[in-house]
Amino acid sequence: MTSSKTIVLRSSDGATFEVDEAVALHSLMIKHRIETGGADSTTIDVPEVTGNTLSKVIEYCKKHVEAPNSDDLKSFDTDFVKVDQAVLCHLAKASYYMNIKGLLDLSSKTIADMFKGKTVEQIRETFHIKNDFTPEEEEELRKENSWNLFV
Amino acid sequence: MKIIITSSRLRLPQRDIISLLLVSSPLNRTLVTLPSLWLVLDFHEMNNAGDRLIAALSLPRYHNVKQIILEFAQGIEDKHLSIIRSQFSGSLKNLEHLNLNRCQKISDNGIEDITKASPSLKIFSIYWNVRVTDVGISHLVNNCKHIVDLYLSGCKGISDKSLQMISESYPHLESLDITRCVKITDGGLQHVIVKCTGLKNLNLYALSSFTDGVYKKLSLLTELRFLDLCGAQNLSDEGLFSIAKCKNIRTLNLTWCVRVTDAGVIAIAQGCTNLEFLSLFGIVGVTDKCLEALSKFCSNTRHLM
Repeated sequence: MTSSKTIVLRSSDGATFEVDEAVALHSLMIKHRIETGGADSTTIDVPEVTGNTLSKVIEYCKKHVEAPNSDDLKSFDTDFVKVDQAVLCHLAKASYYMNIKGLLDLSSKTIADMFKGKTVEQIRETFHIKNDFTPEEEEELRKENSWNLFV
Repeated sequence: MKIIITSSRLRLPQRDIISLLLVSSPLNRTLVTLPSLWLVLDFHEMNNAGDRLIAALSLPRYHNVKQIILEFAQGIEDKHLSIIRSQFSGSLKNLEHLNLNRCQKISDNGIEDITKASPSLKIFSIYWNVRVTDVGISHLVNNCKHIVDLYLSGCKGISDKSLQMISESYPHLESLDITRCVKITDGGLQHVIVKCTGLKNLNLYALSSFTDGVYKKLSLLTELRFLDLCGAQNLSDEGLFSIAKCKNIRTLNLTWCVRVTDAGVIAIAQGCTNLEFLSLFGIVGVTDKCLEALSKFCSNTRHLM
């Protein structure tokens, strides 16, 4: 099997992205697909990820593959995650499925930092999560875990 | 969505992870089944720590806890440890690291209870507790067979007897801190040096009654990387000639070792070529002569006082 210079990645919504193979290999999932794939391994489907997110993932991989030792890598990463919470969650999910450790760590850590010091209500609001506990259940949970709080 | 987030090595403070439990029931269900989130219980500087610990251990998600931190916590007493032993022994079977630093109310009885419940303990730290005696240490060695790091700084009640028990039970001990354990004499320390030959970190800070008789035996500790001899007023160059045979020493504190002269330090320079940190503070008998030797032989020395 000869390795082609570029690979085409296809998102869940049919968007296609042509990338250098070296950049694509930054995703261990794609690396595995290429190594175990047959003659048609030039186009790879990534059905777990939409076009918008895939485009950002590729941007990340490009930077990290093409300039891994550059001085501005850190500031690139910092700016890269200055996105709204929904995009951040999509990035985390995509990096998990595509097995891109650096991006997974970066996006998870950013999300984790968004939890820090927030009350339960604030977390629900930030991440648009519905409270599906009954008042009794919630009260029970709070009591059960009250040992954890500074009085 | 949350499944992804939580499976990606979240490192949140205890308080935030528990807040997440209350956010929604799917999130709650996901989090309680992730074992890695529930391995540490941290009550440092908290009040009512005994009650808090008992409340936490009653929750199933903490039944594999590996580390409990009670450093500077208030309200933790023998009675709490007794309750934990009688009701929650099952939860502590995997406990590896127990920090009771500055829990001044804990006595030998508390130690007996908590060690009985924690047979897998590897790291035990109980500094600044003057109630603990050799009896408490006997409970430790009887109940916990796998101790690797033992921190007893300021436990002034322990004597040579404890060191003898420690040396007989823990031949694979790697770290020992007996700072200010002033009852210990050459005899006690010698037991440890002879039997715990894999020792990497030895802290003898503020112990001024040892003599060269035991310091010379330190050459047996070939794995030693950290040695704190601050205040070792009887340590002479003779002792240092032996210590110089410990080739792996990275950190050596000779602050206030007032009998040391250039000859001893030069021997260290020639022998401990991996030295990174050396303190000669308070020693009037050393001159620039030894500094020359140090720069010649120890290229890694980064900090010199």
